[in-house]
Amino acid sequence: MEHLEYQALGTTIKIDANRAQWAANEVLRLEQVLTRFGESPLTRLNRDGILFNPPSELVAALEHALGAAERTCGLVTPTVLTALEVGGYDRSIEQVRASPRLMFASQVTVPDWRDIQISNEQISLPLNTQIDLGGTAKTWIIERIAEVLEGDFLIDAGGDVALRQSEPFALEIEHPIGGEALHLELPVGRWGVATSSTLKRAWRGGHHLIDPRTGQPLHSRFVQVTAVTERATEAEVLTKLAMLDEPVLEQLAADAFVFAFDAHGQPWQWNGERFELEDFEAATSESDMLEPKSLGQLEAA
Amino acid sequence: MTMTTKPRSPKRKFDTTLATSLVLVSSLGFGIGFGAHLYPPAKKVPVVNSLTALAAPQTRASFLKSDRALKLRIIKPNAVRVLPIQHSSHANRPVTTTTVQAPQVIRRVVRVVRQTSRPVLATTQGS
Repeated sequence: MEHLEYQALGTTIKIDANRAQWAANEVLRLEQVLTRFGESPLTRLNRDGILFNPPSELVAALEHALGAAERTCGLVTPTVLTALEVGGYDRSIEQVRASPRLMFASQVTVPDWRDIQISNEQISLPLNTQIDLGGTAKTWIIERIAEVLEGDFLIDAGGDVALRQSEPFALEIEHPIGGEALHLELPVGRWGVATSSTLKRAWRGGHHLIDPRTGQPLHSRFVQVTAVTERATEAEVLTKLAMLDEPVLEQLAADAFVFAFDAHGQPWQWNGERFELEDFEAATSESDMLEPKSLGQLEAA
Repeated sequence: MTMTTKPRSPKRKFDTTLATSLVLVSSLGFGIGFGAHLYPPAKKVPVVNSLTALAAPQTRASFLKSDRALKLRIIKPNAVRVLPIQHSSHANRPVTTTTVQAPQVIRRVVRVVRQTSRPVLATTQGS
């Protein structure tokens, strides 16, 4: 198994896989298609409002983003770019941090995602609508690559992780305000893990998570949320929902694992209906955990 | 997840098509699911979609109404073996055995701990 570590997608990419070099190249190739910084099919679409013969990857990634918008009633939408730029995130995060500008002088209305026309022949955006795939493209890219990889693998894109493991393992959850790191213990299998934070990709007066209902950076009791599902694409959406609207989260995350830190660094865990303050002292023992049965185990039993 | 058994279209005056499914839940218990379609004359949609779920406490299954098919939804546990048993009037139809994978409750297989003895493969953090 190869190990590669490099910079892409505005973060550090770590890949452990049998085809790590191919996977790394694929991340870079897809980034060139989906980035909103520099020259790309997405920047041409945002500039012109229409793109003929779009790359199939852009069509697929945008369809994924619009699907997330549909499932979340527009709470996780790719149409937040104007709000992001007005808020100051109009350059790479390194440049924004180096020279922040005055933010949120005016309120921005986030356009309706349902007005976007998309087909294999063309993509057209309504007036005053621009697309940012940053919220969903990173997990979409790593899951697209993960579907091709065989055997055990791990693709870590700045904390959003797609993996398959044949032995029980753990992932570290970074504490958002410098407290003790915690650990996620997961059973064997194919998993997607994502974490969102209002403290990263943040600058004076703002951060990168936009509430489409206000056009401004979201306000949440949580500063960091981690979700585990079978795919990182879904987990990433749940992390946003946990910060935006817990009733909608309840509709979509009945089975998922969601873990959050509030502004005081207190850990909270989703019980399928609401968040409960995590009590590690009362945590279940290893023997209380249910290990998922593989089909082979069930049939042999 | 759903498993579908499609009864034949009614051909007789009052054709009763019966489909049952036996749900074996190995390692977690034993469950039986039963569903029946009753067809009125010249109608192709079921008017009665009775369902019975006899199952172990760990098993929940339900039959869903549909236009032409009897669908069995396995809610839990994670996977079950489904053996359709057909009415004798349809003995010539092929019987298929299907393994159904139901969504697992991920919250119950993932946990957060302060310390772990397992290999730590990566760190997840806000991005």
